[in-house]
Amino acid sequence: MNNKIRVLICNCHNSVKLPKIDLGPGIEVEQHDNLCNVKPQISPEEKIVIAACSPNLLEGIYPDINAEFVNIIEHVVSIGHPFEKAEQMIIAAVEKIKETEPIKKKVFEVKHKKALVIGGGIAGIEVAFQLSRNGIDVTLVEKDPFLGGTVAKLDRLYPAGTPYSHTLMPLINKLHACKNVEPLVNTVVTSVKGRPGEYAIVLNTSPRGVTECINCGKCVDVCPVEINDDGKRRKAIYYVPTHPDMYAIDFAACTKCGECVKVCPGKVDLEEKCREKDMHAGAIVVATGLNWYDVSKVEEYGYGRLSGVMKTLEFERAVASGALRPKKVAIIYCAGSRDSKHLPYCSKICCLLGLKEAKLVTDRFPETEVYVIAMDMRSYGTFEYLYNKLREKGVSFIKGKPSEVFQRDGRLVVRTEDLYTNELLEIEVDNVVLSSGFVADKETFEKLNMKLDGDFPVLFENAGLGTHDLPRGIFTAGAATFPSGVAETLIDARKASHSALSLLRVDKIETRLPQAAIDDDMCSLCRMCIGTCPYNAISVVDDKIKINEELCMGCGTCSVTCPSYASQLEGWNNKGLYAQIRALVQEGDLLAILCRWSAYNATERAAQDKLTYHENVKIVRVPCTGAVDPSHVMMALNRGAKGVLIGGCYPDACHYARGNFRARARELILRLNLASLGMDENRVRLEWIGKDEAQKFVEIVKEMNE
Amino acid sequence: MSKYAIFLGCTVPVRAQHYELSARNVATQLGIELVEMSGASCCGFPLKAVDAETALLVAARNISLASRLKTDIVTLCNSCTAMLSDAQAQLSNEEFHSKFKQVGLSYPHEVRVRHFVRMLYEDIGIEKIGKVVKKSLKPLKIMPHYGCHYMRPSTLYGFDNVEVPHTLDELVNVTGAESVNYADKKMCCGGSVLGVDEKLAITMANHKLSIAKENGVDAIVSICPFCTVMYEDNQRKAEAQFEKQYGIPVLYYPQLLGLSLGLDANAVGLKFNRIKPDNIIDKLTR
Amino acid sequence: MIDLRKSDPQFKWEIIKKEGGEGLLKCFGCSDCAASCPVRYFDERYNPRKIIRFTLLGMKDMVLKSPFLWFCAHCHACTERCPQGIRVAELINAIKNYAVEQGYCPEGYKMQLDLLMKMGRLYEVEDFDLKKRQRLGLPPIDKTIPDVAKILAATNIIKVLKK
Repeated sequence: MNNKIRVLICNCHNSVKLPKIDLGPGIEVEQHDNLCNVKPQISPEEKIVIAACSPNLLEGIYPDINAEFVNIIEHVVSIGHPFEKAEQMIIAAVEKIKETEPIKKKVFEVKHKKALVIGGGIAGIEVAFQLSRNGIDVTLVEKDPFLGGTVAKLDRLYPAGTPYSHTLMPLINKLHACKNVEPLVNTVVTSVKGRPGEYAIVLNTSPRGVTECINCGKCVDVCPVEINDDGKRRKAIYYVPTHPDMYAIDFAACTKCGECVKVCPGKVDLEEKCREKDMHAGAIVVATGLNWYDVSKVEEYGYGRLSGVMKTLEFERAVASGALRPKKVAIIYCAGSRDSKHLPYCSKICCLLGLKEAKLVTDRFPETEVYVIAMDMRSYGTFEYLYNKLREKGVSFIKGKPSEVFQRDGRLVVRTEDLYTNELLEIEVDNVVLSSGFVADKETFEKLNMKLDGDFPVLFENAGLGTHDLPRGIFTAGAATFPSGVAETLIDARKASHSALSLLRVDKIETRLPQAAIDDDMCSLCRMCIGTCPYNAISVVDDKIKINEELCMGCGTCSVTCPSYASQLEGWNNKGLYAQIRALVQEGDLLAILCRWSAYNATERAAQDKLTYHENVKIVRVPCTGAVDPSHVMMALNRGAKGVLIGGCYPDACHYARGNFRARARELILRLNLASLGMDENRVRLEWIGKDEAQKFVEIVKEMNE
Repeated sequence: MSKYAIFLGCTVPVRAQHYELSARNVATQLGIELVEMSGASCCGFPLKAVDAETALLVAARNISLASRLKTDIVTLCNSCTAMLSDAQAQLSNEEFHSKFKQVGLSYPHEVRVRHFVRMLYEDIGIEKIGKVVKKSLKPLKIMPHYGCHYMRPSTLYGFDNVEVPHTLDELVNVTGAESVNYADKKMCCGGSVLGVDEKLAITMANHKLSIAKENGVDAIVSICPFCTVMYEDNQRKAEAQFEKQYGIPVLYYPQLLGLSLGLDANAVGLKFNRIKPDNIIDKLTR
Repeated sequence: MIDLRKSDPQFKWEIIKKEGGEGLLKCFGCSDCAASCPVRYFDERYNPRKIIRFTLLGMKDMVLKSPFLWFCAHCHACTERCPQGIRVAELINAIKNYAVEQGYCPEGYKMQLDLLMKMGRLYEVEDFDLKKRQRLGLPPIDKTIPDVAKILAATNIIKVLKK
């Protein structure tokens, strides 16, 4: 490893008298007066040990250097421990930094001041618009032959029943005016490679079939194929009212009979081929919108089996187009939602979609009887007024979950208990509308190498998941993040575009966040690391384990999980920690390996609160208890340590989501190992110590010392 | 030749011998060997409401018998199917397994539990059965009654479609008879309520009997002796309680299948059916 | 009116301990079970949702003394539909088991228990039955299976008979 190491010792405004120490050749020891105010010249390539006060303070003052911090003030001087201990701590830090590579500055060069927006619904359009007017070139891809997504398929929007076009068309018109936005319909993303600032993308555009169109409509008259497009009847060749303003062929339905070709004054090409296109972008925004759950799986409601049972979208389109004029409708909520057999979560907006359908059909046909059958009514916020309005309109609300929908004498019957009256009801209706939940767009996220956090994408902005500013190049906007209504989607889209802008407006992003890296030569592709990462940052790409640098927060959990030590965390690699512990621990010591976010701070608080503990307590700082390797613990015990305390955040408070759970699992195994070796398993303890719990820390080390 | 241990339970060997007889004869026709489970007792179901764990132990004892025979079990009664299937599944649970061992039982060989009719559907299959049908039961209209524990809970069985059941319909149709689709097909016969509130149980049985009458069926096909008790033995009570006339015979599925495979009335024990299936014999000999 | 002063909040924890009772706390009262229940369909005095609700509210006496607790046909229509994955029929059964422990056991079950103790079967196998089987070509069966009594003796279930 590298040669010269500088040790900077601070005497804290001359308040501490420190003897001179000589650490041998190659190690320059410097005395300073107040490192917090007067900063010496330090270059990022140098290896530094700073023996002063709290690392939490000093790290902020010295953000760009490669340093190991030793808190000699609060861990030795303030609590009256002998100076030999401080010397040991400094030597240990030196040994560690000898084996540690400097934390690399990660530079994400924003090579392309361009954005790819996946999804041409209202979220995608809004993002494209916002980025465009900030000078960014945007490619907007949309899989359907038209822009507008779900809103373009709807008739009305809740809560007021605004016609979809009143919201959608102004957005599309705004987009038309943007010269630097390239909207590509009928287009999907086939592959994405790269990192924030430079993505290489391959797009695939499927044929539209209509290449020149004057909107005369003659083709529709002769087309023999009629299909049910989610409740609206149309032909295989049809008009797209939003953008582009022309006809398109639905090749899934088209029989290629050629009748349209005969009458078209423009150009219809039934043999049009797919086209691939390469492009580059600095940022990608996923705006793929709402995906309905396949409600035919909820067999007891008979979707797909009983005629007259529809989804909300189909119902709306059928009623709006005049094809359906039901006298009696039952709207069933939570069809396949909050259900362990289907979607266990709540999709938030389906309660409102159901209310919207109730309003839509009664606005159009006031004599229609509507029964909303719901377990709960999650009409949150001011959407409560919509719920009030519907009751005033005479819509019946039944509280319960129907057991089934069946046919009797040609009529649809819904059987349910009405919890308001405790009675069993059977309601005969013309139509049953199922308000079902939504699922995440797994396919797109997989292409982008972003795993889902359970059911939905990781909400990067979640404050609990780490406090660092990560360079990100992939953003989500609108319902792709989580189902949301129109207003919320547009607000979310604007926020997402600002996040994307913060990347695209600079030339490069630099960060010295310690991250884990894989040594491919050591990696056996066992894949154990993949499941342990709390950020789903690890995956297999091109037959290699890849850590997504956009997501890695540097907790160290994967390094400890890896059986081959192939994964190493920068700044806290194995060799370094071994060296530190080996040098630090003497016979009879109590080693405390403490998490930097909580337990370590408790020790500093102890000094401030004037609490004392035995001088044999030696402290090592780690990013997370999840980064504590059982072999480090065993090494300390081998060196003669009396015991090892692993201290970290409480279960629901880990800064890296669940590193401390890993630690707990490892502690149990460690204790079993000790027992099988005939050692007292109580020599190793894992404790949750909050950052202010100085008293708790002191008591624990006291107990362990006895 | 496929071999199964046949679990008879309490009712079938004493009170529904025609079910057992027709099942055994059908098995022979289809090349299935049925071995006896000597020492087999009640499946434990009557104890469940008193103490579920004890009931499971009694059931598990029967599993242990088959385990020593190294043969999978087929059952004739739905409740026996439920009890034995549950016990078999619980044997993978450490806590239950240790209690099982504590009462001196062992499980040396893994054993599967299935209803006899399910075994016919899965192991023989509709196609094969169709090939050996000698006499089509064509004019017959049948109401299939699945019973409850044939497929529910689906997490235990994973068989058929609990919302839109079809296996018994297919098994009836393959004989040439017409299996009728009717409302409330999945509904319970009310058997377990008989000892608690007879009137209510009869009301439940009557519901299906009246649907059967409305549909003009020639017989109800059952795959459980308890369901048969409700629809056959208690048919008169239903007629009395609701002032109706039914006279609908209740056949066990192997009886129906047996007739289509060419077995005569005696071989399927038709003389033991309490509501005389004379109408069926008439229709078939016409 | 339900007087919750009379409620026993420990009741639900007792039920959870019984075989089949583990799902009790998940219930959010959607009533899918009650709407699926064939018994409830014909007799509204039996309602699985209500039994579970009163159990959660701790109305121990009300639940255990109710004759309707025994109306459950154990048909699993409820188990099949419950969105919280509760094995509802097993849960009702667990409450029945608890009721038996507390001394509320219907006579019919006691009689069946007695029969199983004596014969290991519910129906007596008489010589007449054995002869009938022989004539039909059916193999013989055991008249009694004493091993069942051994298992019953090893559990707490016999206390029920004595009560």
